[in-house]
Amino acid sequence: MDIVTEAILGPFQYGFMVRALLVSVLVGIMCPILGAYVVVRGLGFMTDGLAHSLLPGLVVAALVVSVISSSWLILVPNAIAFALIIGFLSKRTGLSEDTSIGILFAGLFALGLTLLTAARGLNVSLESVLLGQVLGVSRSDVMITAVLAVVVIVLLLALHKEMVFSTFDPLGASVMGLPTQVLDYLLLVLLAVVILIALQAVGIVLVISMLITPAAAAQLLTQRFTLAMLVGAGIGTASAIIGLYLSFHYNLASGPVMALSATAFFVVALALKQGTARIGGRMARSHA
Amino acid sequence: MDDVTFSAGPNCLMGVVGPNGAGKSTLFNAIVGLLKVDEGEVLIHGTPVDNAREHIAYVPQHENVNWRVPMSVWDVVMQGRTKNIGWLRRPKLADRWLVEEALEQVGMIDRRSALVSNLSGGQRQRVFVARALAQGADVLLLDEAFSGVDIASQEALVTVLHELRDQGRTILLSSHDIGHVAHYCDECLCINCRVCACGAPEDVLTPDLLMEMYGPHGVGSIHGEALDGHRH
Repeated sequence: MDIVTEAILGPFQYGFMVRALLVSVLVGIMCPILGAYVVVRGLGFMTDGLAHSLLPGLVVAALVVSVISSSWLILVPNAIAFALIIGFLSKRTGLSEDTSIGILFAGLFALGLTLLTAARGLNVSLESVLLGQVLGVSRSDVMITAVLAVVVIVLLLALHKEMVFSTFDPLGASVMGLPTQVLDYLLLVLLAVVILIALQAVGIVLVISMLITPAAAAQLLTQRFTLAMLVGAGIGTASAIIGLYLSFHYNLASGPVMALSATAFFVVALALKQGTARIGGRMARSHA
Repeated sequence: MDDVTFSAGPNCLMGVVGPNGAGKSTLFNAIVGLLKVDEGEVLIHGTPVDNAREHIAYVPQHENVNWRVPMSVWDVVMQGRTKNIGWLRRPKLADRWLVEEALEQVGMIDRRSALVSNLSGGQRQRVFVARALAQGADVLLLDEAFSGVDIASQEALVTVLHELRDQGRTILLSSHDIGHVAHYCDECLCINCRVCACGAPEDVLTPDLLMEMYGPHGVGSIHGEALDGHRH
């Protein structure tokens, strides 16, 4: 094998790298598709808050995993519950949305950190929770990630036109009789599930980067919402794979490198956008 | 709002006017069923609004639309078909025809691929009117129909609205500008937390009524403007 082939295929002689690749690609596809909604609806802070509020659930799941068959049995319902709670708080308390979310997420994150330090002998490190540990995913994690990804994709495809309508013009959609509130909550639930999937790859702190950065880059490059989702999924997948390779070859933490790759794509997209705007401006002036 | 009774028939373009805070948006939200009325009822073709959703369409105010979502003119008008297409399904040929027809009617067929956010205020309003037509609605509500719409675009929008009225539709448009309503509308509904008057603009827009709605400061300028508008 020559050096290039070795560099590309070499890592995958290890089972853990194949599993890591599968999960990373799924994360790379799913995050920007949901992220397209996060970007245009301005849900960045809510998404970050949702990711942080899952920490206590992660710790509890790790504590009782020997009793139950899979930690996902706790993680998924926990994520869905917090998505609904955050959605409710953002609409119903008298406080502003960011204040309600800030209070909830800081409180729950602090609870999670306290539990993590109090539970001695726990097989979970703070670093892997915060930054992701994609090299440590098991076979069943891959399977469950794939199943959850398929469920989310099917729901998003099935409700695409309704979801886009209520994102673009919520009042018009309500007048037509679409259940816009239900769609809002459903979007948060799907978001929570995707955050859960992504936690394995990039951890709590950097989930936001996989959700919004590729989606934002795609929206700079395209002029159609649906197309932006697909381009975003491409950028997300590329970021995840590049991150995985770099982390393998240079022994770096994979989550941060994936996030950095996504950021690099965003910078390139921004430069391209600015460049074409300038060229367009010059052409318009020369025609004038 | 209190004590609101009025009716608008077919072939009617009704302007809803009142000072800021008079309840124009509240009234519209109650008509389309987004706000529940405490007492009384809203009937569309004699049935409660919840059972007549296909007949009614809403052209939103500029600030109620999320312009960050990049949407083409075609896609926005196709939204009018959402209910008819149904959950889980994609548009059929018949839906495409209706969208095309609606775009032709408002004179926006040539811009079908343009991004709605790149259009002028008046063109956007026409796209939303086309969405209402694609839906098959015969009662149209336009909230602050002329805000952010320049004079030339206003004329184009009003021409479309007059055509739709002549085809038998009922159109309610709210505006804080009495001049526009006096100029363009067949009937005028004056509100200020209640219905102050309802009828032909030349009958209802009297100095006394303007005094009641806008107070002494507004009367001189507004009355002049309203009459000017009507003389055009």
